[in-house]
Amino acid sequence: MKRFLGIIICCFVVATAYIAYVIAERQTALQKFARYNDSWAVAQTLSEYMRLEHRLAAYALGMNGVDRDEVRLRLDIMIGRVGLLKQGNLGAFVELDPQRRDLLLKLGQVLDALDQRLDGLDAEGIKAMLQAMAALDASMTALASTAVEFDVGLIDAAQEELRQLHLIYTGLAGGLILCGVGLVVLLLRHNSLLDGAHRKMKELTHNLREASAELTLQNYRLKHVAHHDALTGLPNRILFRSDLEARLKAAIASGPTAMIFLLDLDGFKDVNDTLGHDVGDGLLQAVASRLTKLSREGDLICRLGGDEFAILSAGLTDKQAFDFARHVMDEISFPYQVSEREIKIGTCVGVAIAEAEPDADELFKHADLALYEAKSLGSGHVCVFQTQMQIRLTEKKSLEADLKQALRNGELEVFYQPQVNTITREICGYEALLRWFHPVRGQVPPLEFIPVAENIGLVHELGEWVLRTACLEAARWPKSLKVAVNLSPVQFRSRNLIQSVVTILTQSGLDPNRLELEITESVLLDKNEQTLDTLTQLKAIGIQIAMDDFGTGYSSLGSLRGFPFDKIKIDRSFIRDVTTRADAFAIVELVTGVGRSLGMTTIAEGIETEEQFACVKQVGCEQVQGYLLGMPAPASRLEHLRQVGDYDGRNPIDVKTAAGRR
Amino acid sequence: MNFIRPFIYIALSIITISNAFAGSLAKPEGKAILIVSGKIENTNNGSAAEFDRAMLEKIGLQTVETATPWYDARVRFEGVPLDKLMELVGAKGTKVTAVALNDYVTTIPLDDFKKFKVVLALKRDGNYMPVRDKGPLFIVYPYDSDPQLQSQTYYTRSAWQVAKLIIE
Repeated sequence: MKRFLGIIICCFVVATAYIAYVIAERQTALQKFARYNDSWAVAQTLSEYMRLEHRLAAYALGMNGVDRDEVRLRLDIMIGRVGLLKQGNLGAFVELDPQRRDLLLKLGQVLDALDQRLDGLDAEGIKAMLQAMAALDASMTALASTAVEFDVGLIDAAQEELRQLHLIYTGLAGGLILCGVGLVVLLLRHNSLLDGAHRKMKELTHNLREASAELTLQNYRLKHVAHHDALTGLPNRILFRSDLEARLKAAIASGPTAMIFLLDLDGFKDVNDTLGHDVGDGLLQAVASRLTKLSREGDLICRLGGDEFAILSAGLTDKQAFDFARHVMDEISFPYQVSEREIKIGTCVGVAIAEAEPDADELFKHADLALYEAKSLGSGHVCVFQTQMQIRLTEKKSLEADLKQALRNGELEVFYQPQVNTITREICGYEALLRWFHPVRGQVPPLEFIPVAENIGLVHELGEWVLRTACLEAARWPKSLKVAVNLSPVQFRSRNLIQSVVTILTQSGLDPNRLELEITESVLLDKNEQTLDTLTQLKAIGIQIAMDDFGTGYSSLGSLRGFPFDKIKIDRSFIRDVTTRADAFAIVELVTGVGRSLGMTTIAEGIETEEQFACVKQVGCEQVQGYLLGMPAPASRLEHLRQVGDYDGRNPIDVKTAAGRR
Repeated sequence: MNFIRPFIYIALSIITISNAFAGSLAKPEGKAILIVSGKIENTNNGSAAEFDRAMLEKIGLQTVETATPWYDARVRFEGVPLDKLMELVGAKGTKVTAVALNDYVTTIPLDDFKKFKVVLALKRDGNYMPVRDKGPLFIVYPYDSDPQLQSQTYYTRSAWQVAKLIIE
């Protein structure tokens, strides 16, 4: 395309240059037509010659007005004419032909003769002269005609040249027209190509637009997916977060106060575990739809994950917020119909209301804390966040931090409380109890720090330490004495419990028969293969298993059937009232009877008075434990037990004295 | 020559002015070689102005050196500038008809004289031209000065053996 254009432009340039040249040539050719008309001059010479002859004849005849001067003038003119024929263009013309040269010679001679003899000529002389002159008339006429012929020839040649030039000119013009046509064709082609490109571009643009729209839609879907929970279709944590921030920002710009209602379902995990995930999912969907119906205009219902939901609201007073939370909780608590099952599930609500200069993270933490607080109160509670909660949380954190340091700092110690035979009043073993002496807090009760240790996962480490310490200690005691160690439910669920117990027994050299592990009923709550398996394995090693705090849990008698415990510990709450309340006494009597029938040892804890002792002794309880029989004491107080390796235990320590020293 | 020319011009202008004021020309003392007639203001013989060679030379001569179709070599002509002559006779027309001794007639626009500096030549290569050599007067254009002049039009206007000028 470009090459063609280049060629055409070159053609134009060359043709134009050549036309300029041709025009110049034509001008030169035309010049030839404009040359001095030689034939006229030659014809004029003939005319002058004839006139001279005429004047000469008239002079000879003596005609009026013709004198010698007149003749001389004509002669001079004629001689001038001859001179003209000898030079310039005419000279060249004459030179071409020898006849012309000859004629010119003769003419010159005749005129010379006339010139010399004019003054002396008479009529006769003139006659002779005229005859001589007349002889040249024919030749002069011929010269005139050949001059015309010559000029005509020249003009013809010039015309021919001009014709040639015109032909070339026409050809060039034609070429130029062709070039022009070529250019037009090229332009048209270019245009059509451009049109094509434009069409294609339009098509592309159209496609692009379509793709863009598709992409926008996809993007919207993706955004929706990213911001919404797939199961319930509710906004998820991300949207919750951005909406919360927007509400807080609006609140700063004197908008309504933002608030979070945080709720999770009580025991949802059990629903999932017992009824299956499908039912769990269905329940979540039902809860979500109920929440959506409950929400007021402008509220945002979110599923934050699992069974955790949130409602973002604004502009409520504390009282209104609390009432709304209660309303939500009540509504959620109505039974659900999922997969043809009726499911009832409770919930707790934590409420956090934004105060001055709130921060999204902070507010959410507050709601979380309030929910935690509500849950700690049990199912069906609403808590609005209060600053004390934060303080409590801080305190808890500080306690956690201290507890983590406690073992390393040597602030922990294992105390031992004697367990005594009811009949003989002899010590048959000790229960190992963990004590924490904090340099600032003083003695921290186990009820306070054990749950914390369980929460932060420290209970494994602590439990193991207690177990090891107690086993090492007991290994040095007389063989008749047992050691009882508590196992927290958390500890019990650990997979390497057996492994660590075996290792400790091996390391300490303690006879497994002398180790008694106390577990609470809650361990058996999730009664499954693994729990039973663990208990069976422990028992197989030779370890005795005692049920702690018996009577306070869920289904005590059922759990006794599920596993052959070695010992039942009757909870101290029954012992406290055993002497004053008949029902407590009846329960103690019952449990003791059940134990006896099942072949399990019964032990009553929390014996503080002789009356209580007598009472449990009367119903046949085999062992007792309590302040009456001995306070928990550090290992240092038990040194007398270590003195003799084969101490038979028949020489009991004075537990009263030991307790008194404490 | 160069320093003489201004004097000639001054002399000429004085003559021209004086003549213009005089309203008539002096009579020719010698044989008249040129008769100017027609629409003229200054005359010396009835309605015509006659000039002998001396009178013409008194106007002042101008040299024209040029190639011509009639001579092989370049030729140097000396003659009276025709526009000066026209001024002298007080020509009022637009064209001049030149009549030669052989009765050749040609018509020249009056403008030509000033435009092309046309001379009425008396001399060729320093010699007075006789009738035998296109004399006594020859209307010469400076052909070399302008390519336009090298054409039939101006060659036909270049009359030789001029005897009369008729202003129309």
